[in-house]
Amino acid sequence: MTYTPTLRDKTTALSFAADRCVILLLPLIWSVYAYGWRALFITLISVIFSVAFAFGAKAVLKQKADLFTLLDTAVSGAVFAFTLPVSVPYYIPMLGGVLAAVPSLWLPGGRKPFFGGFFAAAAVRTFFSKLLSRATQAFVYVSPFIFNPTEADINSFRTYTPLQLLAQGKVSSGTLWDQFYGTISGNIGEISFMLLLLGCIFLLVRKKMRLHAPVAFAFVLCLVTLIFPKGDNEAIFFMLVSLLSGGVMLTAVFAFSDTYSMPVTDTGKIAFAVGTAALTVLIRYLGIAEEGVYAAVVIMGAITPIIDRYTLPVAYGRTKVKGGKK
Amino acid sequence: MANSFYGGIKINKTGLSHGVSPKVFTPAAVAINAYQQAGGDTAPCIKEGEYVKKGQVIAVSERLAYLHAPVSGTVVRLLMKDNSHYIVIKSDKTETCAPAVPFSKPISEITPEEITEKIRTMGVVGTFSGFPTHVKIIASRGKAFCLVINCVQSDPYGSFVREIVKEHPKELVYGARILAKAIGVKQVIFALENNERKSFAALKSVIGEKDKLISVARLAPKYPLGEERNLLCAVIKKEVPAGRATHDIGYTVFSAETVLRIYKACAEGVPVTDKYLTVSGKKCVSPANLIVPIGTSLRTVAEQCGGVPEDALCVYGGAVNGKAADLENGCVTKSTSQLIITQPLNKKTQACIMCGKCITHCPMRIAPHTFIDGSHRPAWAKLCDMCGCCEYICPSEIKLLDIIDKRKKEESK
Repeated sequence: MTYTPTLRDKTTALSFAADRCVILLLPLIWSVYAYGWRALFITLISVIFSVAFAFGAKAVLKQKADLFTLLDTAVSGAVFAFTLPVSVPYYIPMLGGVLAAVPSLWLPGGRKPFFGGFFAAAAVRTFFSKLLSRATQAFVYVSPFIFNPTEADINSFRTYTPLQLLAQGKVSSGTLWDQFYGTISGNIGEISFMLLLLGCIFLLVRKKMRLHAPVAFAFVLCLVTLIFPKGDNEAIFFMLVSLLSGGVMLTAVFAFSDTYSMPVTDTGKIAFAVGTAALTVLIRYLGIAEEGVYAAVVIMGAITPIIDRYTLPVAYGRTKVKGGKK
Repeated sequence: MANSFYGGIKINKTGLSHGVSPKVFTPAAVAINAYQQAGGDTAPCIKEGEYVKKGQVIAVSERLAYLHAPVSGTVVRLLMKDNSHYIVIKSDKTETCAPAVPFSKPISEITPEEITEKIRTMGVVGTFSGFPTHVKIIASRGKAFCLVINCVQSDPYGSFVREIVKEHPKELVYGARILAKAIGVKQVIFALENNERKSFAALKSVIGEKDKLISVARLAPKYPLGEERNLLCAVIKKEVPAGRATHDIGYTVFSAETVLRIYKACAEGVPVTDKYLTVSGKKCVSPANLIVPIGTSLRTVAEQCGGVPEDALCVYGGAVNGKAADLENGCVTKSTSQLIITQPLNKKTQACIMCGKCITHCPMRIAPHTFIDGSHRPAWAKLCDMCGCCEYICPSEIKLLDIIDKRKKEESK
């Protein structure tokens, strides 16, 4: 005799993917405003390649592909595009879009090893680190119709992101508020801390994400950068620049809301976030790449199954828990 | 949050009004399964064709609770089905009662053993679990120092427990005193949901301000607060160690209806012949609380509330952990608590997305999703009490209850 419940919560798996799609829109619109149509083109190319590759590969591998796959791979593709500066040649989003869809080919029924968007970002950064460090000023537009912008094309408005400057021990000319609102140079989707924060709040309110991971991530990142500031900068200033730039919020919003690659329990999520924050700062300090957070997320994603195994909940009656938590 | 437990789900009460006193009705015939209680069958002590009065003993056992005729009439058939006796009685609609047999001396002079024996011969069993009450009393005696009376019905469709508390506060308090004497406890706590203001006021006025024995605890409403272990967690902030009973930590839990039955058995001498139950659901024409004679067929019960539409689904048990009811053969037993007439949920199960919602909502703090691939810890299957929170909350609409049930059966082999 099988169980036949008559009520269920209205949240569906599809709404998880759909809500993440919705919060893509605000940063995307802002990036078009700040960087021109080229930002939109890069994002669209990445999304199309990601979705097309996922559906094609799933057809070959005889896996099920549905609306959920579409939305999920679209988010991965778009988040990859968000990690690019606007001056990249168009073959980068093509390649990255394909890479972003690779983790979704993992067999259905649970874990995906990595969050597609960041997996692609980390991989592409390994090969094309020079191309991907060509930041341009905001509100100066690179033409959307140049396939491969050369140095000459962008030389007149070439600049450095606050994080790149910080890595060289310099201080950006913009204020922290510029970073907060997103009126400063940077990558397409991650310049506006505020809009990503709004997306984060949206996910939290809709209960598509738990508060634990973002808070632990921000806390550890702030703590470590406050204790060990780099260069001759003021500690608090260094901490805020580190927090406001370099895809930190992009991680908090999109990587931590990717249920497939995050640990399942709250404790596991906190462990994941703490590990990511520590690795991020480490990678930034060693100076290999300014945008250490993508690699950090991928490394932590690889050990997620281990985190999962050791953070399973302690069942009722095994140990004493004070009071009743919500 | 104060006065609550870990996990659980908040389900809005479905807005169906049951604010009516339970209705009584008499069916034309009843088929009583003599296997009413956990622990075994009872042997019929009547013959086919014999006339029985309402409340007359019809099946006896040496260890277990007796069974009484729910209606007056003629015994039509005695049969064996699935290793248990069935007694079919045709009602004569006169409701001729067998004489009540209350105690001949005042309650203060009766020994706990006499009370326990009375409870057994009056056929009192647990109203949700079907566990014989006298067995529980004997097991708790000497170990438990506190009696918790469960006046909580956290199921979104159920409401008869609330009606009982609202209508019979005096009987409940009196019954609690009898039960306290039978077990020998020094403290009695009535556990109420904190939105039940009328019941709280009614109980308080009966108990009085200065009573040292009895107190009332108010708890935050959340499903499944009604489960014994969650209730203790909310009332006393203690957890029952794995594999132990509640009386091992000094507490014992009885439901409000059981206490009412104990009152009726001991003070009035009336045996258990009927059952309170709620009939409701989205497709139910007139939802109501009913007092139904034991053995009434489920179809008769459903028809009392407007019948079952063609496309409706009948569910027996909780709204989130019920099973499809067998309307043709199913009968009301001493542990039937509700019948839900509703439209079926069309579940489109897809792969687990590892969101972890089942873990944060599981009151037993186990990880239900691990049962899907069988990577769960061995002790978890035993711990799960099938409350259904995980299946309610699962965004992938996975049938977790069925999966866990299967694993439970595999492991008990």
